[in-house]
Amino acid sequence: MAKKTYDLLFKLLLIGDSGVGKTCLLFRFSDDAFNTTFISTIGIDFKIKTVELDGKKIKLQIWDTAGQERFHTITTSYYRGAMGIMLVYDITSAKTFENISKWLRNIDEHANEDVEKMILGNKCDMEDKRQVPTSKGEQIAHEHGIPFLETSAKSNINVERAFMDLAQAILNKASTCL
Amino acid sequence: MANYRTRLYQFENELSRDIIDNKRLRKLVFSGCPSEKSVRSNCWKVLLNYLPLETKEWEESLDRQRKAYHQFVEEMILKPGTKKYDNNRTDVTLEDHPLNPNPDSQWSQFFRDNEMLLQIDKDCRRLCPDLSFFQSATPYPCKELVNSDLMIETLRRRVEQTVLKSQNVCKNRSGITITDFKKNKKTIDDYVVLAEGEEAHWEVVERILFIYVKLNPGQGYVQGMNEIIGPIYYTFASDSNPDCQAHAEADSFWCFTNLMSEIRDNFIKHLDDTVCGIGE
Repeated sequence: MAKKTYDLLFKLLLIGDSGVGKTCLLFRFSDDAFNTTFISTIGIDFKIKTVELDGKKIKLQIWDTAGQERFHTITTSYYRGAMGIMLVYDITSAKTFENISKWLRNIDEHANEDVEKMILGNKCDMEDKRQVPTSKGEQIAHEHGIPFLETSAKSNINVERAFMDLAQAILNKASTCL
Repeated sequence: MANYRTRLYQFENELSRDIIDNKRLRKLVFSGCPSEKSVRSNCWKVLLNYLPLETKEWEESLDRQRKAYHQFVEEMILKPGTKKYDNNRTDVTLEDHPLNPNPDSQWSQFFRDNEMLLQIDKDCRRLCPDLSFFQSATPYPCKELVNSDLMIETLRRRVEQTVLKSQNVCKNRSGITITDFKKNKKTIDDYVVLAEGEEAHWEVVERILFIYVKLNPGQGYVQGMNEIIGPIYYTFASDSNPDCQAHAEADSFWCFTNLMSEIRDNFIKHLDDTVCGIGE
């Protein structure tokens, strides 16, 4: 057997409306880069990043999903294996925020009951085009008891922290189970 | 025989309830599932979460998912296929051309797809070789694809164009050039390709897998997937109900997708040595 280069494997999933920046967030986290050319994701792909938390090496397998409606049945088939789910909206688009409750219902229906969740309001560098006030994001997160962050993949704000917080939450839960 | 009739009756009874009792159905299926009267097809569809437990929702659910599949065929095969036959050579531009080294280029995507398609093709041609079923023509081919005057590049043509044939050129003593078509041990010619307008069952399976891989790029095609989808497609395509036969392609796609969601990790190489992979 190959020697293990890490201690734990966490599977994460990014969901949210089309164009909110899921792929960009993942690209920023895994490659520390940002690409302005807009290619919409088809189907489901993943990236790997190994991080260290509490002295443990943790391999993160992060699935990036297509936001468009027509791919929903395909993407929901990935919910079940996920240990953590990021719900992403775009602070410059009220519509994507309104749909967060729809995505939350989707999680209830298809994911594991004890899955860790996190809500992200992305594109927070575009303050001049903001449609969703921070307080509204905080409110919905509070109502559902889910952590919340505003992020920017472009300006590299809170991206690393978002993924690390989610991983930490999964790790904390795993430790209490052991 | 009386015993079999009772069992069949039990199945029919369970499948005709307003809400199917999943636990009881599982128990029944565990000791074998009769193929008569679409029992096996319906049981598999229910147990693979393709059909909802509420039987009155079946029609709507089937309709929605079958349409969704056909949209994928349209988008992944028909549309790019028609574009290839467009007279305007729009895809050969200065920005993008076959030798473009940029991994995001449409052309390099096309070549990557072809590589994957060839692997799927190899495996589907020899799918369950002991059954003549997969080599025979389906009564429900994809109409848009088999009609040759529509000028669509089918997967079949793509495979033919991608497989190169080697040829030896030699001269004999009198200086006459002889070209010698070297016969590989197993060339595509060894398998009968059906006439234009017809499509073999294995070609349908190939299309399902091609679309599955396009939609699940993180997973990709791994040998053995054909063996998993084979029995599912066979069951639906040889069902006694013509409606089940006619939609065997779309139904198999979704059942396969749902089944893969349970066993996906075994097909992902970098997970091989993790707790959820095959190496552990």
